Amino acid sequence: MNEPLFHARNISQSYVLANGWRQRRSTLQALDDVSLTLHAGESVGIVGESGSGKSTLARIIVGLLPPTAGERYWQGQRLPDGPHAGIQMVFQDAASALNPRARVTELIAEAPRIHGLITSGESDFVATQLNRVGLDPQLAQRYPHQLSGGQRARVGIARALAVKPQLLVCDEAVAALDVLIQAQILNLLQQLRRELGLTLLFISHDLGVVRHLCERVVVMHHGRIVETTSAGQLAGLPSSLFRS
Amino acid sequence: MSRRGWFSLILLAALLLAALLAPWLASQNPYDLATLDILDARLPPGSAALDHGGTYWLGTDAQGRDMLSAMLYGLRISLAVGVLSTLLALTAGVVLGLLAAWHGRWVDALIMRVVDIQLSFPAILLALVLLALTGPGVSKIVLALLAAQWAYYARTARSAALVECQKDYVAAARLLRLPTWRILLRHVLPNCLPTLLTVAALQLAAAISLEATLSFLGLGLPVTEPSLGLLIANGFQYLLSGRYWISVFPGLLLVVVLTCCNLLADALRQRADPREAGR
Repeated sequence: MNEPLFHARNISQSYVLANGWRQRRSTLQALDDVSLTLHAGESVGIVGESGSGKSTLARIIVGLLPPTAGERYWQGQRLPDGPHAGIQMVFQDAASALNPRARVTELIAEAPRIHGLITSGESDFVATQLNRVGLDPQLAQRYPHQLSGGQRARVGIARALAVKPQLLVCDEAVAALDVLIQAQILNLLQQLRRELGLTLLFISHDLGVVRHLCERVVVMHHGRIVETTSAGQLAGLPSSLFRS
Repeated sequence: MSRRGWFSLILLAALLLAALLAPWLASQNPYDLATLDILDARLPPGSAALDHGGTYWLGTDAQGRDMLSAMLYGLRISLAVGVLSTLLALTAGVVLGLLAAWHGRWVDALIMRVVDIQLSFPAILLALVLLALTGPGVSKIVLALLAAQWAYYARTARSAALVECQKDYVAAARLLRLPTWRILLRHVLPNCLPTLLTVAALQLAAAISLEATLSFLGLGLPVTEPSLGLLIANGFQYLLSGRYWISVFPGLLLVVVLTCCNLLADALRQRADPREAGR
């Protein structure tokens, strides 16, 4: 079998809760020895209840948070701490994920311009990116607060894709949207994955959403991976974990 | 912005303009001794000049200086010193505050402990000590005010930046591998500006009044460049003999300037504070 696109090995993360004078040092184990492999073009879901460590794992995978222990590998190469060009993220709350004082065109074009990814005109580049996520290029001059929730989510996706990542991590990317818009965004992600050959890591607490989008599902509980199944078998899954 | 805010902004702009145009607005250059007439000394407001037809609308001081002209020139120096020191302190404080917030750990601890020590000294005491060491002069009082005030901006910038750095747009900018200086200047700083401008308006008033205090005490500006504080000091000895105008008019002008700054700061704060947006 060929080299996986991304591999996280034995990731652990703990937070120090109290470490003061004459206080007993106590820690919270957010992630406990988690390993995860993503192959190119795959679509993997991570499900779990609140506090199961899904979001912490997402932040470690993209490099926003250095893990307490464990390593990340990209196409077989060990990754240093910190962000990597090939991994981007779509955030849960699109409103706080977009700089309120920047126009859409600046949000999308800033990073590609700095990394030299824009070869022709910048407005053409932005228009292409907006078209790809199903937005009218005329929105380019708007500010985030002048957009609807669904439009903001699309801008967030366009911004992540503008730097041509291979792995897109979506952390509860549709949780804040209403059901109709959720379906639209999920279909868009599905379509973009096919068009661009993206690898998708989709984090959600919503089994339905994950089943719709993912081929393989990882179930987390209390900072551990407790089960890995194909999405088809997920229907019968709810074992002891989701009952309470 | 509230009506009061606009009013204070316009009045402040008018005073600034008057200060800038002082050489053209004033009827005499109060510090050119050749234009002064000692026979016109200590005339009450509204008196006519002895030799030429002019009127001293706000009276004259002990040297026969037209108070209105002296106040325009004094305002010029007071505002220049206040604005310059505020801009310098704002820049220094913002740079250090952003650094502390972004870097965290020992950089944060080091900068903020210096801020704590700085803020535990009364500003006037620190400025007095610095001026006693360096002597008077415009550049020296600007430096003293900078030293006395940067810490306020550093603390405000740090706390505002800490809030912004928690937001996902900063995380997104890091993921896009934008240079750190760009994230701080183009993403974090613009979102901290409303808070910083409020503090700046407030500290501008503090800087002007601190300068006036130091000049009144004779430690600030040299006699050749009198600010409002020095004008008040000049008339002080005549106050009890009934020649109130030499001190009172510069004092009133100072009060108006400070009130405008404070009203403006209040209006800016209301604008920046979402809880008050509806009022």
